[in-house]
Amino acid sequence: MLEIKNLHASIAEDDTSILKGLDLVIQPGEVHAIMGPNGSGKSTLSKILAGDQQYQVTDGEILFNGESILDDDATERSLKGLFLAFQYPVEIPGVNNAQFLRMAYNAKLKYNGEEEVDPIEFDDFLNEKLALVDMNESFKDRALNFGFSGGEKKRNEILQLAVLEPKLAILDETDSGLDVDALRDVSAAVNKLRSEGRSFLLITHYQRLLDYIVPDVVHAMVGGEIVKSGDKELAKELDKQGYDWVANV
Amino acid sequence: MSNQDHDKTIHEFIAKDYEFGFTTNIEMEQAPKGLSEDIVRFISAKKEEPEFMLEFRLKAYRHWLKMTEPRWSVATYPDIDFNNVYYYSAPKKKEAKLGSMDEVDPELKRTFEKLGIPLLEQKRLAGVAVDAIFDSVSVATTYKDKLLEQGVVFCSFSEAVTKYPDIIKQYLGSVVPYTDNFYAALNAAVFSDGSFVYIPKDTICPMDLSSYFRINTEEIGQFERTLIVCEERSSVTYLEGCTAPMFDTNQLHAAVVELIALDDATINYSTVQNWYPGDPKTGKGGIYNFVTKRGKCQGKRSKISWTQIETGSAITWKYPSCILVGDDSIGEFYSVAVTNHRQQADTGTKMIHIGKNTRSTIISKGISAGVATNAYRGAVKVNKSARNARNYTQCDSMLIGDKCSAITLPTVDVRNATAQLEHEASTSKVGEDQLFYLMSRGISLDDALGTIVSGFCQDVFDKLPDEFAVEANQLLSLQLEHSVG
Amino acid sequence: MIGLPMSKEDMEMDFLGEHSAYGGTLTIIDSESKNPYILEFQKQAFEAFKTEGGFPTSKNEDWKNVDIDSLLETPFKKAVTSLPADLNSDIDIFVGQLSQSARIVLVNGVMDDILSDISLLPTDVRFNRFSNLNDEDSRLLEGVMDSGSAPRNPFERINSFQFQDGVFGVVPDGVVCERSLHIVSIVASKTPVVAYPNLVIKIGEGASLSVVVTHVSLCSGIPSLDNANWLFDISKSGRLDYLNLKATRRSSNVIDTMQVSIAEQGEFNGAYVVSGGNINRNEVRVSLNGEEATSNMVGVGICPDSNKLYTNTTVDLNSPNTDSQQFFKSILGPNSVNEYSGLVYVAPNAQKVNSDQLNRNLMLDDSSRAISRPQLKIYADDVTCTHGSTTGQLEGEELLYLMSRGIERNEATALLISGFAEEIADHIKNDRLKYYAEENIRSALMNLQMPA
Repeated sequence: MLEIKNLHASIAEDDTSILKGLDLVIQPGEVHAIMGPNGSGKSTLSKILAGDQQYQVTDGEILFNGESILDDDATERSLKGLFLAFQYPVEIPGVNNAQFLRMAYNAKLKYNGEEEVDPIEFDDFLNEKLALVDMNESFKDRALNFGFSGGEKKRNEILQLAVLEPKLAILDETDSGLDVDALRDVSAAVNKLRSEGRSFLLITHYQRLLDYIVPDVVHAMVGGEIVKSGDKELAKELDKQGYDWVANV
Repeated sequence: MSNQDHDKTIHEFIAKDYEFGFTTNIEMEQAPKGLSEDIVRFISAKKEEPEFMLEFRLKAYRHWLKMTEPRWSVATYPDIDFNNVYYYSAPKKKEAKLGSMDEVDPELKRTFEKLGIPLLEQKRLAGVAVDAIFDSVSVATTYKDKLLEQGVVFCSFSEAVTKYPDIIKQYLGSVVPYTDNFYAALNAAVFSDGSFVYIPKDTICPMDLSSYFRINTEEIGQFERTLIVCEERSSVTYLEGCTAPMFDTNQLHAAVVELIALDDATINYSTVQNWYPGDPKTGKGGIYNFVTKRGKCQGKRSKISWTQIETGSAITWKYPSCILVGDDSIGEFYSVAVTNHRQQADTGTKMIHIGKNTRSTIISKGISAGVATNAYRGAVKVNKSARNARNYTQCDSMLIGDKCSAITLPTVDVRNATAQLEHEASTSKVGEDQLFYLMSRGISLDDALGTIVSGFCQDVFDKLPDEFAVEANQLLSLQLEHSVG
Repeated sequence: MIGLPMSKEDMEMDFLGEHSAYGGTLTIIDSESKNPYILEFQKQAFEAFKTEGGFPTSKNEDWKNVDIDSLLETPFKKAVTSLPADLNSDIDIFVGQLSQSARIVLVNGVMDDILSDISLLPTDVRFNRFSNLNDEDSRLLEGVMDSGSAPRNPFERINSFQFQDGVFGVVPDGVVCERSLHIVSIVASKTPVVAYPNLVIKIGEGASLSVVVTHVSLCSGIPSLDNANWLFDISKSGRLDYLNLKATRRSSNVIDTMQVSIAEQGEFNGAYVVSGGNINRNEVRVSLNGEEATSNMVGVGICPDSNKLYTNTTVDLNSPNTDSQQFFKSILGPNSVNEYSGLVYVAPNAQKVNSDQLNRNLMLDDSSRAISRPQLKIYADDVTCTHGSTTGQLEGEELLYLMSRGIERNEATALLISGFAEEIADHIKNDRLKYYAEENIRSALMNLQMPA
C-alpha cells in the first residue's frame, strides 16, 4: 500500500532538515502506529505524505500502490486514496460543512469515473456516516470547523474519513485534546472503518490511543528516523521507559 | 508541484476567456460622435419627448459644461475625450414601433438568448420580467401587460416619458439632481433609455423585475436612467445584469439610478455586474463604469436594500446610497467586489440618516487578485434630527497574491448623541493552510480557492435572490480561476 | 483698520507677520546666528508653503473640518521672548512645580537655558538650542533632519520657516534614562500670539527616554496658538515613551505636528491626553522603517464644552514584521467636535505586519459631533490589519447593571464615563507616564458635565 524509502525532507523556507532517511512499509489492511517525542518529525511525515508544500523532499521515494506520488499535489494524492486527519483541522468561515463534504465526495466520484450525487442523495449518505461517528446532524449546517471545539474538530476529521473512504488513512495525533469518552467514541468509529483493503497510520505521542485502536506494527521515531519497530508491546515499553531508551539503542 | 512552481504560478495569471465578448452585427442608427446642444436636441427629438424633458436635458448639459471631471477615485486612467464618444446608437427599427415581441429583430433576440436572457415570455423562468436594453434603447420588455393588470408599470424610460409624464416630472432628478456630480449631469443631458418601474399603493409586485444592459457598439457611451417609485405599502425586487463585447478601446457607462420608497414600501435592488473588464494581460479595453445610484427612503418605515456583485469593468466607480428621510426607515448595502488582473474598483456606499430611528447596515467584501486595486469608500452621516439612528458597517478585504492592493476609506460623521454606530474592518489573505486542507480532501486548487472566497462572501450572497446567488457564485469562480497556483 | 472687514489675504498676511504669504520674501529672525543648513531648510519650507497653496482650505481633506478661519480672524502676532516682569514671575511659579524633575522649558517657542535643567538625566544626554550646537551635533542634527520627510502640512511648513531657534536632544547609544524628561512649552503674552517650538530628538541605538510634554498657556484669557513641530528619530533597538498633555484654557489653541521614524526593533509608545482648549490638532506621522519596529499610540480627548479636537495619524509600515497599534477615544460634551482620521499604509513586501486601529467616541450631547475615518491602504498580502470605530452613548445595559446593584444613575454614569476614559491609561506601558496620564484624565473628567 505505502512504501517509503530513505526519505529525506526539510522545511522549504529555510532548509531545516527534518526527516533523515526514513523507511516504512505498510501492507493493505495493516494498522501501523508511529510514536515519538516532540520534534521527532512524526507530524511532518504526515504533512509530507499529504503533499504539504511547506516541506521539500530532498532525497528518497514515496510509493503509494506502487507508484511514486512525489509529483502529485495534495488534491491528486487525496483522489488516489490517501487521507490525512489533521492534528489541527483548519477553520474555514462561511463554508458549509455538508456542502464541503459533498464537494469532496463528488470530486472523488468524478475521479473514479462515477456519477456525482445530488444534495438529497448525499444527505441520506451523510446521515449514515454521522451516525457511524456518533455526530449530531446539526454539524451539517455549521461552517467548516469554524468555532468547533477541539473534540468536535477531531470528530469532523473522522467523519470526513468515513465519507471519503480512503485506502490509507493517516491519523495525526487524533487523540490529543480528547477526553476519555470522546477518545472512546472516535476510536470506535475508526475501528468500524477498519477493513481488509484499508490501511491506517496512527501518529501519536501516547500509548493510550493504542489501547482502543490496536496496531499491527509500532514504530519508534526519533530525530527524523524510525529507530525501532515491533508489535504493540513496544508501545507499552516506550510508555514505560521513555524515548531515551530507544534513542540510545 | 515544487514550491518554486507554486510561487511562479501565483504571479502568473491565465485569463479565463470573457464569455460574453461577442458583438452583434445589426444595422445601427447613430448620432454623430461628440457632444453639443444639437446632439442633446437630437436625442430628445429622436425619442419624441415632451418639452419639459428637453429643458431638463439642456439645463443639465449647460451645467455639465461648467463642471470638471472628478479624479478623486483610486483609479488611474487616461483622460476621456468626451467628443470621441457616440451618445446615441440604436438598432434600426424595421417597423414604426417597437413594443410587441414579434417586432423585435430576430438578430437581437438571438443576442439576448446567447446571453441567457430569452425575450420570449414562455421561455423565461416564471416570475421574472425583463427589460432588455441594447446600447441606447430598450428593445423589449416582457410581461408588461400582465404586470399592468395589477397596476404595476414596467417599461422603458422613453415609453414612460410619454405615457406617465406626471410621475416622471415629479421624481426625475429628485434623488440624483443633475447638479449632483459630473457624470450625473452628463447622464441627465444625454441619457437615452433605461427602465421605469412604478408600483402602486398596497401592491406587492407579482414577479421579480429585471433589466439587462448590453453594450454593443465600440466607442459608445451608454447612459441609461432607471427610476423606481414604490408607493405606500408596496414592494418590488429588481435585478440588473450587464455585459459587453471585447474591444481594445474603453466604453463609458454612466448610468443614473433613482429609487423612491414611500411609507412602508420596500425596494430590493440587486446588481450582478459583469461588464468586460479589459484584456487580462495588457489591461486594454473594458468598460468604465461610472454610475450614480441613490435611493430615497422618503416614507416612514420604508426600506431600500442594495445588493451588488461586481466582477466586471475595467474601472468601477460607484456608491449605491440611501437617504433615510422617513422615520424608522432602513437602508442596506451588501456588496461583493472582485478585482483581478488590472481591474480597478472604487466602490462603497453613503448612508445619510435624517429621520428618527433610521437604521442602516453595510456589509462590503472586497477581493483583490493579480495587480488589481480594490477600494471600499463609504460615508455614514447622522444628522442632528436623526435621533436613535443606528448603523452597523463591516468591510472585509481579501488579498490573493502579493501584487494587488486593498484600500478601505470609511468616514463616519455623527451629530446626534443618541446615535449608535459601529464599524469593523479586517483584511485577510487566502491561507496556504486553508488551501492545503481542502486540497487534501481531493478538491482541486481552483475549487478550493472558489470555496474559500465564496465562504468569505457568504453574508452577502445570502441577501441575493436565489437565482442570482448561483450566478454570482459562478461568476466569482470564473473571475478568480487560476489566480493562485 | 477697526471697522473695516479684512480680506482673507490680509488676515493671512497679518498672521504670518513681517513677510507676506504670497509673493513676499522671507525674513528669517536671527539669521546671522543660524547655520546655512537651517537657513536653507527654512527657505525651502517657505517656498513650499507658497507654491503648495498656503493655508489649508476646505478642499484639503485633512483640514476641512478644522476651523482655520477663527484662527486667522484672531489678530495673532508672532510671540517674542522678552517679557514683562509679571509674566516672567508667572512662568517662574509654574516651572517651580517641576523643580524636582529633569526639564526643558520653552518660553514662546524658544528654549530657556536658565529654566531648563537636565542634570537628573545621565550625563551623556544633551539638549541644546540649534544655535548653540557644536560641530558634531550640528552634523548629527542635519542627518536626522535629512532623514525626515519635508514639511507636509501647511502649519508644519509655517513653523518650519517661522521658528526662531529649535531644540536638539540626543540620547547617545546605549544610554537608558530612568527618569522622565518634562518638556514644557509655555506661551505667555498679554496680546494674541503664536509660538513656534521646533524640537528634534535622536534616540541612539539601544537607548531609551521617556518624555512628558505639557502645553501651557499663561495668557489669561487672551487667545494663543502653540504651533509646534516635533521630529523623533529612534535608532535600532531604541525606545521612546512619550506622553502629550494638553490641559489648556479655553482661549488656547495647539497645532502639533510630529514625525517619528523608527529603525529595526525600535519602539515608539505615544500617548495623548487632551482636555479643554479651543482648537487642538495633533498630527502624527510614524514610519516603521526596520524589521520588528513597533508603534503603539493611544489617546483620549475629553471635551467638556466647545472644544475642537482633531487627531490625524499616518502609520507607514515599510518593513516586514512591524507592528502598529492605535487606540483613540473621545468624550464629547456640548458643542464639541472630535475628528479621528487615521491612515495605515502597508508597503509592498512588508509582509507579516500587524496593525490594529480602534476609535471610540462617546457623545454626551446632541450639539457635539464625532467624525471617524480609520483608513487602510494595503499593498502586501500576508498581513493582519483590522480597524474599528464606534460612536454612541453609554451602553444602556452597563448602566442598568450598575443601577441594579444599587448605584444611583448619576454615579453609575460617572463611573462608566471614567472607566471609558481611563482604559486609555491602561494601555500606557511606562509606569511614570501612566501615572501622569491617569492624574490628568481624572482632573479633566471633573470638568465634564454629566449627561441628564
